[in-house]
Amino acid sequence: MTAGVWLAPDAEAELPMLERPIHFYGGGTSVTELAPHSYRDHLDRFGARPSCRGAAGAALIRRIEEAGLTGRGGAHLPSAIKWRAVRAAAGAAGSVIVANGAEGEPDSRKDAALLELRPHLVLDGLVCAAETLGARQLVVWLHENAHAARSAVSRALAERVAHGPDEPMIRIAVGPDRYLTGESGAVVQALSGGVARPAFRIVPSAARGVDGLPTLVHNVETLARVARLARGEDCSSALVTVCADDTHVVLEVSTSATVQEVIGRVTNADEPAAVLIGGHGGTWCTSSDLGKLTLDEADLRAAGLSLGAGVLAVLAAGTCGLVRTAELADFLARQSTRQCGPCVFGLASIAESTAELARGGWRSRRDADRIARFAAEIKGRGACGHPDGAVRMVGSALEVFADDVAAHRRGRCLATGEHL
Amino acid sequence: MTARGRLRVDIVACEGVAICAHLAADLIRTDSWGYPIIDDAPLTRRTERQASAAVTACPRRALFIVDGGSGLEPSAPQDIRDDHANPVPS
Repeated sequence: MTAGVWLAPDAEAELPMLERPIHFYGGGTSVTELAPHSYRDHLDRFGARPSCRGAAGAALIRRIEEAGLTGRGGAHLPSAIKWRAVRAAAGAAGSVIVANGAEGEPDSRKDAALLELRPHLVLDGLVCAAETLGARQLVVWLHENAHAARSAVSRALAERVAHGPDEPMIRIAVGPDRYLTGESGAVVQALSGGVARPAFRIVPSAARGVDGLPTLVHNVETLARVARLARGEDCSSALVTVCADDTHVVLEVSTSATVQEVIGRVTNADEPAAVLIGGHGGTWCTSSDLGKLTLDEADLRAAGLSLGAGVLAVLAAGTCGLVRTAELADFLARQSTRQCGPCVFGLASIAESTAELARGGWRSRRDADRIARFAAEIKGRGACGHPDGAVRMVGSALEVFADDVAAHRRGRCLATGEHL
Repeated sequence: MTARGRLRVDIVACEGVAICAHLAADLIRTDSWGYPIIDDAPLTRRTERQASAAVTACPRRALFIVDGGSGLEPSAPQDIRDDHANPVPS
């Protein structure tokens, strides 16, 4: 475990949301000297939330667009487009705004850190969105066993009712602790009285979502940034979780920082052999791939990458990348909600083939061809993006760990030196 | 020329029965597990007949034709999601 050396965010005028890195050891709960903000602390630090009714709401949407705010849950869609769609579709029955804190990525802790330490920023963003978009229902969506986040949000809501200005009611709703519970279609389906799993849809939820009402589902970090933008502040930082040496560290970093710098802040180890960027359904990269690449989403996109859920997971020294990939592929296959055939059967086939590769069971070129064929068949065919993420992760592993693939085929593992 | 629309599948409702692949062989092939992969090109006069035969025959009612324009609205009047909607606990 590392203590993690904290360097202040790169010479930014911006007031950080989290003043120092938050360490999560082992299972889950945060170990931090950073105190959660009470409502009073929040007001002292960030000031009162400005009203977003009428013209102020229109101005907020413009500011969101100018700042280039994108969703921070994984897909990084431009937020302004979603807001305009909800506003255009909202009728007399109003709309629904969901603060999505169901953090399904196993290596992500940023949403937990934000909800546990700065819940009022998220709630401010939720109310700003509701005022701008004429919402009647405001929901915070969480995993059912995210007890620390849930109690932090409950406490924050109680404080606002007791001491805050008059605001619409916000309710907390929870879903099962599964990978896809935070998928926006699953959120909409669950809040409409169904089961929390992704749905096939032709009309986007911004037009027809929860109970048929236009619905905005935003990751909690996205809403915290809305709360900053509404106050006229900048929002050029990102919350990331660096996973290295059995520790998860949540950092707020400038998006102009390079991926390598950010990882270097957390681990003192030598340059890692590989880093998985974006989460379990992300992309494997080598240090030379990363070069001087920054966390800026446009920069990453140009290199065929995405910050996804903000996870930078370092492959531990002495661990075989193919073994790790097989574990991840198995996890992703088991997290399928078993609704779409290509996902149910395709991910299982890919996981099986990857496990065989890790065990040294690939003997010919045909094994690689088979996995490539499965990948091509699965891509883009699920009701949600889950199968695409699995295909992306495995595909990148076969490139990044090409030497290991060749060695495994010859019955030898490069990382452990073992005979397979 | 009027837009003829495209054939789509509700992949959640689909159970891989694959009758569609026989009835609309020019539009649909099956993947390694028997689920339909549908040609995304707009329908022609000939493929439109195949497409409607497949839509009618699907026992899961998972196929539908979307209008040529937006691709957002189903051509059938019923809400296609009703078929496989999860029961609301009462």
